[in-house]
Amino acid sequence: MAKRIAYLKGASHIFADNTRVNIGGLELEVHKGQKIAILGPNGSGKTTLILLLTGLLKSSGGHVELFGLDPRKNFDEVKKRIGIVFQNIEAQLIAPTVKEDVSFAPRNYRLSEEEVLQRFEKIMVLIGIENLADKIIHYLSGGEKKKVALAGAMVMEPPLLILDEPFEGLDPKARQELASLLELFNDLYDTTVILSTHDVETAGRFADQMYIMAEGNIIMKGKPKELFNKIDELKKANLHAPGILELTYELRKRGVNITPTLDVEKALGFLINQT
Amino acid sequence: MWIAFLDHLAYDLDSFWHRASPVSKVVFLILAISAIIISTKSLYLAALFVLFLLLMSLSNLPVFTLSLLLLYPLFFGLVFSLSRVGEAATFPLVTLLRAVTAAEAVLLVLATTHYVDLFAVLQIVLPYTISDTMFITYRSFFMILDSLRNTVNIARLRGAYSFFTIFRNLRLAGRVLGHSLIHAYQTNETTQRALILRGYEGRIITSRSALRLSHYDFVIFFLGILLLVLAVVGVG
Repeated sequence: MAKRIAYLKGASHIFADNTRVNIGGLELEVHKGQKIAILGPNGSGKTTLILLLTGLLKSSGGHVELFGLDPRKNFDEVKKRIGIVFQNIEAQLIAPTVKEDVSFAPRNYRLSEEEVLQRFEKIMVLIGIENLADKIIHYLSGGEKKKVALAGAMVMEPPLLILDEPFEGLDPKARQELASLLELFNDLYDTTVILSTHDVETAGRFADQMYIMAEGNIIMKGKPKELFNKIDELKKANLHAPGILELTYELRKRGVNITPTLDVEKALGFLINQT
Repeated sequence: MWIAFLDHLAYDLDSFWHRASPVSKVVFLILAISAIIISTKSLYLAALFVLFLLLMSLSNLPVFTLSLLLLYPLFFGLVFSLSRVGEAATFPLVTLLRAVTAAEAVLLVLATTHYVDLFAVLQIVLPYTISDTMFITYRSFFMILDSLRNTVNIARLRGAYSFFTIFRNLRLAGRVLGHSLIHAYQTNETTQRALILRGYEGRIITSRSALRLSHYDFVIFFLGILLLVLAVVGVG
């Protein structure tokens, strides 16, 4: 089995207004090179889980581990190995131009100007946004801003990439493009990817392991195929399964011998054969 | 969005003032503001006002649009001047000119300098905590203004504003401000987290070439010194 990158069980955090968020239920265990999707409706604790995992929030119990270390106590050590894209992109993009923003982390880590430029050019080409280099960030579209934030997170080629609701506000094409980029990093650098989302469809296509959260608890985990066979439990967690999945699931429930799938072609082929 | 507009002016335009190093522009700003504070002569301050307008124009900046931003200091300067009417005949005019001319000098520098470089220079002379706060505040300030405008629009669309209900409007203003402050706090929290995770340790690192001095910079240094000397010797 590949090396364990992250582990979280029973962590909790008390916010300034005394709200306590407990991440209970099952444990989260992530291994090198995995593509993890944390699914759950709004307010289910996904963002808190991410902040606890990265050491940005202090856990008042349980066990949190990142790269074999307590992320809170060893924050300076673990932060160099994480690339992160937050839900609020506007707040994350802090420099006025794309070039300055993407070069921000390499400069902070005191790389030479030559290497900063080299890394900048490489990541821009990889993500396919080299035409945006000198643009003012505020004038970019939502999808472009997400790509710039991704470039800023990946420019140091960290072994772990974490994204909080990356597909929110994107059209289906942009979602697919973003998911393809994450796959590319995973293939190219063996980057471990953890993303939180309530987009079951894109997560199902992208992830090789999914965790379902509801009311602060991790209630289910497994491969997408396994979880998609438990569509009633997904509904209980307030997750809206993709139409094609629900259709194949309902057909199966009504006695049709079809495996629930996200693949339209596969489902179509089966239905044509049946008729 | 003003911040995007200022970014556009600083990055997309070109002039001798744009090409000058942020070091000389910050020094110029300090000298110019010192001259403005020292001077008590309205004629000198009026001359500075015209000079800065001229410099804006020579820097290819849209003078009229930028002048709209000067309405803020003009308004507050006017309120302050009115409160001091009667002290001396020229005092209100000098106060007004000081407020507007100082703001004009700041605008000239902001609209011609990459602000990351600008804050990198400020961090050399200011304590980290102050420059750090200024850096985050500068970004957040315009975001808060946007948030404020959106909240007001939403409130109006939901019937919460009427021209004739003054007390209700005041109550609404309080709520809008509260909402925007909470939003600003949350935004700052995310910005701070992003900064930390991207290796920021209270010091902005910029490329050394951005801070290198050229012959333009000596002209700017000279101009700043000249303005201060004129104010000190009493011409201004």
